[in-house]
Amino acid sequence: MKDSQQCSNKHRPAHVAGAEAAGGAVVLPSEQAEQMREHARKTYPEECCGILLGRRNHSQVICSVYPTSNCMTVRTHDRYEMDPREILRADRAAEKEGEEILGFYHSHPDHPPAPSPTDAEFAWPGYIYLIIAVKEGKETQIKAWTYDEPLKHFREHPIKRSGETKKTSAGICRKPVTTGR
Amino acid sequence: MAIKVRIPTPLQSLTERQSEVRADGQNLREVLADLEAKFPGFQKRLYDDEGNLRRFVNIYVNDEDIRFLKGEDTALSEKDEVSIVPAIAGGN
Repeated sequence: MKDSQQCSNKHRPAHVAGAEAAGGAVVLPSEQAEQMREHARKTYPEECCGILLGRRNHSQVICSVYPTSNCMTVRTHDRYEMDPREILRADRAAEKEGEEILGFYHSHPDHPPAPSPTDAEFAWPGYIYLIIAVKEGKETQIKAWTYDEPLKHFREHPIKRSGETKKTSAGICRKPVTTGR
Repeated sequence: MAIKVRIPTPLQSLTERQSEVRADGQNLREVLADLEAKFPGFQKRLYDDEGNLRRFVNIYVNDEDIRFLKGEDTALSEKDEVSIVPAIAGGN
């Protein structure tokens, strides 16, 4: 699926409880960001979706993205549903690389990159949800969210491009990696 | 008989952050009951108030959804792997 040497192989500390507890920032390499933007543009005006694989250390570090198909057969312009078998396959692939499923992405064609009531209805705590707004099939904007289950609301997290961080310690992808799909 | 069970991130708060645990049972129902005994809280996350498995939770034995097997009565052997896979959906 990817070259595991391009990410640190240090495992996450036991005290990190999930996306909410990991300091907030989501590290997103520009190549992975572009891969998602391209997916969102290509499927416009329908919604796209995919899986985020990576490592959880001091930050959430996205090392690869795994585009999936939208299983919805109706309302594909404003709904998405992932095939659980693809999640299962991604989980196994991630495990082999010493990674994990950090979360998921989907697009909002001609809508802001903010979670909708439908997103909240299906949200799980502990995952990162990246939402890509696509305006008229061209302009894109990505925002990162996690769901706070007790408070029943989404919290926005800052996105750091991997090139923008000076850190080279555990958890930072040294250079962008791809899924090979 | 100990069966390997893959735990998704949202439920790892119940397993001391372990992504994989072992639970005993001859079939899925027994394995899920043992999971609850070892890590209290699973039952509430997996079952609704009527005692049915929640719609937003998928359970796989190896590569097969248990809805296409015998559900919770699906027999298990030590070589089997049970995976709990959350349903992921949404939209604007």
